[in-house]
Amino acid sequence: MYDFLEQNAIYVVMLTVLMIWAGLFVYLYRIDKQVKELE
Amino acid sequence: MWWKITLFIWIAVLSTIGIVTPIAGSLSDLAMISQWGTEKTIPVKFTVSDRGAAEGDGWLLHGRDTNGSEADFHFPSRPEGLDAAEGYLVRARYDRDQHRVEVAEVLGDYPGFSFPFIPGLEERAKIIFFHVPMSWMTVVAFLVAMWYGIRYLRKKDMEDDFRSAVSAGLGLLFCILATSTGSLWAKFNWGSFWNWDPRQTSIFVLLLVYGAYFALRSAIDVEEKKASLSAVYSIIAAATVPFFIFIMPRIMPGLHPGSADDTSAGPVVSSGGMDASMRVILYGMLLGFLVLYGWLMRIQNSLHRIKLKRADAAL
Repeated sequence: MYDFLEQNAIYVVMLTVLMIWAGLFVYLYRIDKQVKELE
Repeated sequence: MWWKITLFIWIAVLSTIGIVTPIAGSLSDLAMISQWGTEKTIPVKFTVSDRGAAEGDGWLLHGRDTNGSEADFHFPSRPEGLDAAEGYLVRARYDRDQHRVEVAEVLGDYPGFSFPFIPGLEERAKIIFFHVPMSWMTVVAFLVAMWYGIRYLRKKDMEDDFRSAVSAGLGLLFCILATSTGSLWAKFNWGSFWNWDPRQTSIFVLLLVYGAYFALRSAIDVEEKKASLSAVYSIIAAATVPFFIFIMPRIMPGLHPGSADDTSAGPVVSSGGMDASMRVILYGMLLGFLVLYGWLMRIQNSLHRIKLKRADAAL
């Protein structure tokens, strides 16, 4: 895995993008939970 | 509605351009890499100026890079579509004995649009479109938290306190994302996830400072007291933000691009440091994430208003 990512650096960039969207997704999920509670 | 769709398309298109655009170096990059005596090949783009002839079992042609420098390019076999080709994007190394470029692999035709080759970063340089907006949004969100903190202290409006806390929360989210994406990048660029580089140390302190902000908020039960104390705290904390993000990592020598001893790629600050095309995409992504931040703030605000209305109705 490490060697693959070392050789194909573009996948490291892809992983960082995924991390950012995962973080924003978690944030959205928490807002959604608050909305559910209000309902 | 339309601005939300536009925002999605904006971020999607810029991300795609940022990821897909090939990295292409010049002959001077090749010459520099060859000085290090490695067999390493790098992507180079050049236009064909003379279609050349067979040489041994390969093909030798003459080409010119974007800076106007010329060199002989030796291909292992006759390159495909040579008669019509304007130029090529190849992986190659410079052979100092033969004074020619040895092509290892043809990556494609001459790309009209490409990002420059940055030694030591290469493809990983593209992280700048995602990681840097995160840390800049951290700064924006913390400064907005300070702004609403000041407003709360002047007007004593609980709405401002709420906005200040939401903005600090978003700032913390962006700060965590900047740290974790940077740490992943560090694993491949520096060899380890965490090096206590000045940049990493300063963002770690920033995380602690704003972690303490939320610890402070959750420790106080009286709403007014919580609001005024956290407003004061957010003002003091925001005063440290420019220092930790913009100043300390730049005046200290370190591994991060833009450190005091970085001669090649102090991307955004140094004059002529970053390629114009990369700069446009970086600023475009910054704008995209800025609007996304505004959107999240708006959602939280409307949610808060509904909560208040419900509370009023319950009384």
